[in-house]
Amino acid sequence: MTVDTWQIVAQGILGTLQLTAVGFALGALLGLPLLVLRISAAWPLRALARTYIEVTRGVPLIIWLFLIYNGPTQIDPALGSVFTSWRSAVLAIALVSAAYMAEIYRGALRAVKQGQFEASRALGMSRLDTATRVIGPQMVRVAIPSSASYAIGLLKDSSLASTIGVFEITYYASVASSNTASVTPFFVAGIYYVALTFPSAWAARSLEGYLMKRTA
Amino acid sequence: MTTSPALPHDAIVLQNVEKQFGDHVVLNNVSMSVSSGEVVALIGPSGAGKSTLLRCINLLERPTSGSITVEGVTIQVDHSIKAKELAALRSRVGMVFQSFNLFPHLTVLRNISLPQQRVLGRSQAEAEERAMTLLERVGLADKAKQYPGRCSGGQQQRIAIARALALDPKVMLFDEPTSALDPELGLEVLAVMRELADEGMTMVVVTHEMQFARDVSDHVVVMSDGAILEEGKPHEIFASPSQPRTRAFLRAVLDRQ
Amino acid sequence: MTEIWNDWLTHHDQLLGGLWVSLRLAFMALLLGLPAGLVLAVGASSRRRVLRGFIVVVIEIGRGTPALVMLQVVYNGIPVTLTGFVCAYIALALTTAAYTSEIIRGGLQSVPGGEIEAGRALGMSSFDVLRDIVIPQGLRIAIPPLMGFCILMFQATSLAFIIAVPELTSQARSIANNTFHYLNLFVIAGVLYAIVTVSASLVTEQVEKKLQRHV
Repeated sequence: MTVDTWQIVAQGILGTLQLTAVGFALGALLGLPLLVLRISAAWPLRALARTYIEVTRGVPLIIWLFLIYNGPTQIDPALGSVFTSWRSAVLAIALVSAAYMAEIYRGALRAVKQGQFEASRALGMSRLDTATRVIGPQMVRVAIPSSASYAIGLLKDSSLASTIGVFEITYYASVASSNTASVTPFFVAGIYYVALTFPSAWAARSLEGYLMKRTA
Repeated sequence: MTTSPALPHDAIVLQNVEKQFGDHVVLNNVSMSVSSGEVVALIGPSGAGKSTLLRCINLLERPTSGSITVEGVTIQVDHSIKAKELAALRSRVGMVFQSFNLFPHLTVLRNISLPQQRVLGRSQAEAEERAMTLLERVGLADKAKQYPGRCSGGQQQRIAIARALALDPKVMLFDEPTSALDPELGLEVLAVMRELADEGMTMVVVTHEMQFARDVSDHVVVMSDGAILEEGKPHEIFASPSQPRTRAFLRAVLDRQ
Repeated sequence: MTEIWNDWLTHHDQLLGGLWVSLRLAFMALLLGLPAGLVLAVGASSRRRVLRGFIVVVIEIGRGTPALVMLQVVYNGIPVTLTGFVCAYIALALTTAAYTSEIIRGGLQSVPGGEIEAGRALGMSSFDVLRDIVIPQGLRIAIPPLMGFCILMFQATSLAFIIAVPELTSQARSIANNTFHYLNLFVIAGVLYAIVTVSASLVTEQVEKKLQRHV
């Protein structure tokens, strides 16, 4: 295992982090309007959101990547320059994350006790105040641990972007592996992923412990 | 279920039992003995160490030092405890918890028969027959096929008593058996306990039910701050306690009841 | 739309064959991975510190390594020549064991301490308490999240194309590479995956409701 291998694969760390961060941030943002649709009073909107969430989560990420990256070229090969590796990967991750995040938000909303809504209403608070001052802050506490573990999962799932040529950890590992005909680069990649996820998992766990203590 | 009228002997002997959590002393050099057939009520303010002491008797709580003897089996806690000794001791001691702790995934009948099969090696038929006898005794034979979740708290506690009795213990420990129950449900549990006492079972009961302590127990032990404050016959303790702290405690409790 | 339908008519044999491989792969990975997950979960709840620490590290490595990397490591790293299918089976089983151990551990931990204590007070051995009280209840609690994981594992079989296992994604890709009908084929593959996963999650939901009723 040469120093070289470590350095080559390390070139992808930044790419992995960027892809995960941008994709997750977009997904977390898009998840909010999706939540509003999912709990809307109008059933067609609700059904639409539900269908989007179920289908998006039900199809493997790799299919979304191929579909977005390769699909448009069937219509017009020139679209290949619009849907670059990076953009396709960000888009695919964001669309899938939005579905997962909307469900995490919904779970958090359900965890807020019914009495809180009733108390706010009894106090005569407006719907906006109820959402932003009472329910929102309580939802955040519940949603943070599951969002964190979702983001950690995404860090690993971002490895799939290597298959459409995004320059991240697994991509450099594949290149190095085929150049040297050895498995070492993949071991190195594995170690980098564990090194990235281990502290995040630990941080998420202690954050959860901290939040449990504060709400208990 | 009548115990032989042989000469009373020491069923439980605790010698110099100490328990510490870090710097905090929970039990401070407690010694006591219980004769066979005796019913002992452990009373005192909460935090006095009553439950801890009770749980030391079957070593659910391991004391820091001291020795425990139950029906001839002695365990020195400073030495490492052999699994065999522990099993021998626990097989002589039945325990009833405040929160019943029935196994919710097993029927009432299985709750009582399974431990007999595992611990005493009885056959299933034998264990179930014994279980049914005990269920009839506590008046719950009709619940045999149900799950504990479908029974009231009072019924669950009676089932828990039957479960413990099924292992033919020499000694029964009760850890606030009625504290989690509404008063009227507590009464049906106390009735079963009274019956058991009348039959000569050796019992140690941590309780807040002063009525029960006064009427049923042979001996009352008052604890405070991890030590035994005083002990004696119930009428002595309740009528003329020697310690001012016992008096204060009894006044506070009896006023509430 | 008609174009997609035409591609389906032309290639459905190959695609359904791929789906069958995906399903078999998921089944095999779960068959080996779930029992291993239970063993790891019990180990991770052990009172022996060294054993527990070792198991937790194994689990974290298993969970921290992306399935894609796990596939490559098993495929290229095992000196014996194994078929892609067997390698995928092993790699996905390892991932399954690591992930499900955490799910099962959560289930085991949610069994109330009082029941364990009652078992001990009755004189039952630690093994009996584990077998008769903790595992049956813990597994029952873990069933819905485990079913959810099974669905994710079925989706993860799509990564096996990287080591040339002829599953659904691999078949869709190879047809698309020949015909350039990328859009059509990945839509078809997506629909096939969705049919399996969405119906499986509907079943999971029903099971969850049923279990909640009984507790």
